[in-house]
Amino acid sequence: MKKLRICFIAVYLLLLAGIGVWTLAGKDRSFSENENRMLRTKADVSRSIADGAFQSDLETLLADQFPLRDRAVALQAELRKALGEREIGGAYLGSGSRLLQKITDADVDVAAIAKDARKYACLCADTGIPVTLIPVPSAVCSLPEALPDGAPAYDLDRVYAILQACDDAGVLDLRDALRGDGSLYYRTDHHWTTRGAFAAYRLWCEAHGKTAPDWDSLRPETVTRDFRGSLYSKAPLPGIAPESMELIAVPEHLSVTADGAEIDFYDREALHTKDKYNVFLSGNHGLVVIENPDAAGGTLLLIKDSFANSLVPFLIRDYARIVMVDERYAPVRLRDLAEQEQPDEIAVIKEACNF
Amino acid sequence: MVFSSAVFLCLFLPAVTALYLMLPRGFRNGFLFAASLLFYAWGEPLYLFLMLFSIAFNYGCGLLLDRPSRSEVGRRAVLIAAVAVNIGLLGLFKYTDFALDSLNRLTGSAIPLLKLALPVGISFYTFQALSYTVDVYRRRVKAQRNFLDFGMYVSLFPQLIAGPIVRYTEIESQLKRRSLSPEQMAQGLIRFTAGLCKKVLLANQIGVLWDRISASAQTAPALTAWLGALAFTFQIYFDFSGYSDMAIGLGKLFGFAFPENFRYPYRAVSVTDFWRRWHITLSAWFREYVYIPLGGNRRGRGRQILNLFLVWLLTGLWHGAGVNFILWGLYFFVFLAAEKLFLGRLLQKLPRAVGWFCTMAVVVFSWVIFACDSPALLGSYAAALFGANGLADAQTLYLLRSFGALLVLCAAAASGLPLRLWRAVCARIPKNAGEAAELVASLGALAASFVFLISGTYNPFLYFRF
Repeated sequence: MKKLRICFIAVYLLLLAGIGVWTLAGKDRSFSENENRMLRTKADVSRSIADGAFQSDLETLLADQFPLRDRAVALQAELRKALGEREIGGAYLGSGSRLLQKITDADVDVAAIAKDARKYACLCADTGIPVTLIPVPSAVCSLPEALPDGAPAYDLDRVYAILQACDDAGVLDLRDALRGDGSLYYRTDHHWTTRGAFAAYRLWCEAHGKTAPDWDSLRPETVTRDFRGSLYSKAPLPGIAPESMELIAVPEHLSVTADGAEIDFYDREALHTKDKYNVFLSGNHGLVVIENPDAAGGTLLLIKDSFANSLVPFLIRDYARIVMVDERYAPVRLRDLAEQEQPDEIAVIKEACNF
Repeated sequence: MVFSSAVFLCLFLPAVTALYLMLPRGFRNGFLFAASLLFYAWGEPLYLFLMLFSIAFNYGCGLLLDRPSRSEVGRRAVLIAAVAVNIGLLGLFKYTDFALDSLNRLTGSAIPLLKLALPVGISFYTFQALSYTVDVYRRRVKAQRNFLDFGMYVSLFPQLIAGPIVRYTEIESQLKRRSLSPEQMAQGLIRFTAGLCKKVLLANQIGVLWDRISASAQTAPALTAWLGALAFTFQIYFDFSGYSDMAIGLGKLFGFAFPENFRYPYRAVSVTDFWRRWHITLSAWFREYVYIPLGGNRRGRGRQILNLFLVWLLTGLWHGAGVNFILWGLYFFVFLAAEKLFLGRLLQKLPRAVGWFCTMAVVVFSWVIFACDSPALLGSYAAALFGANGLADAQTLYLLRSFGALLVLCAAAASGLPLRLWRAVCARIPKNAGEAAELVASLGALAASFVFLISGTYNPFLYFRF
């Protein structure tokens, strides 16, 4: 028995020390795909002791570089799910192997939405250019049956009410078109799918008095079946199956400039990384200008967040020039931009909770 | 440094244990003193010197008070100085801003706050050092002449940060003579692992429920609010008692036998019983150094109630510099006084279950007072508890389903039943088999705790962050 105890003490301490040594001796990972952030490496550790920077850096280093880190997180998610939790890392574990981003009324800043709505309405009034507001319903609002029972979501109708109260700007009501259809939202990402964006495009065409093209005529292509997006990062459960991503064909002679640099419309390299949604225009930039020499004509000014990225492939067929501005990254004054670009139309496409 | 961190578990603990075992006996105390200073300095590089001052000062006072002296006045003067400096330092760092803020509120003055960071563990090591000085004055114990031994006593890293509060008289004999055996060390590690599990697997996880409910306290219906209070009740118990378990386990690892600090407090059948099971060493300290010197219960009923009042005022205040903590202490004073006067005898006549239920209701509500640090928050939470926002809603059921299993686990762990069952099982199987199972289970529990510890640092971003 004494031998067993000594063995136990030795194993216990060696296990702990071994983890420490294994973590510190191994090669450092500098970037975590799952977490979408840079990890602390040995080179980053601060040398200042008096203010505690070294101490906290060392702790972060040990945690970040632990070789089984991602597996540990997946295991913990499984254990919590087994105990009955239906919300991990801010993602609801919905039915049908679906994850939905948790957004509640507390996350929606109605005052900010009202203020921005007035801003866009003023833009319309001042410039005389028609402004359309397109608030995209989040998955938690469109797919309530997939939510765990009683899980709180946010009041989409209240956001729409605030936006519809603006006299000058028109609102494209996407609520009915996107409700109840699981194929319109990704299962593992907070964005809508290309089909979801198509549903919005159909309404856009109707509002403009055009007939929307057939889905098949747009030549949709399944570019990957191995997509596990942003919500999978929050709740990396092994049981969540990967999903596919479709892209439609875009006109051939497009030229795309993002913050001054030329890029491809579809960034196929992104399909080999974890964050495959970046295939659309390489993600979010401050100012993106897309020119389509084959289109009939017209300029569209788009004020956007990442949801617009999957709607643009449809819109670019109808406009010679689309100017996209993401206010989070480009501190431009919209009025100046409108004066400069002289668009025929202005649209604001953002997720409803972040409008 | 914190026990539930990778630096402590993977670097500090194995290194310190290994070196301790390899050193000859005579060097061990000095080594533990040095290791404890490193442990403390790791988190508080500058306040290390404050603690060193406290150690040196109390060491000096001890030597002064130990001399045979006919001058009672002189000895008393040293005692008063010692108490003043110790409490003064504690007061300065912990309570000045609270006092200034209260003064500002009451008189409308605008004295700027000092905004001193609270030195970690100061409430604990000050009380430990004071217990030494007072007992040397009372001639209950001889002064410790070895500075390293004394320094080790005050700063010993297992109980430096969060107790148990070890009075010098309880540990004096162990300073020079401690046995060390594989059995003791193994038991120490098992106890340490149990504490780690309580903190990482139970406290931190049920804390998520409390965080969620308290964030929307203003609109929570009654059942949700009580669920939240229950969650905090479990969180604080497993956090605090888990830490004590880790401290006692680490102490055992180095040959020390620390006093128990918790004895299944949520089994209590009266508030008096509760306080004999919760933070036992603090109550013992206050009884020994405040209640009894004031006369205890030997100067009549009225004086006893006054003494109780003072002790509970101070107990509340010790927990934090805030009105809610004072309120919390006095809340218990009311029930304790009532039990001493008449309620205790009444409770004894009722079935134990009734006493237990009433006690738990009182205790759970007390934690709400403890947790709400602003009167506004306390007001809205108390209103919610008593139905201001209705009885229940869809979210209540959602939370119950999400955390029900965890709550059951917490209740089982708090009841002590699993341990009793295990002991009963062990009595029927060969002794070695039982212990072997405990050793294996501890390793598994360690791994599980480490998984949860690492997962706690997982922090994904929707959009790329530098």
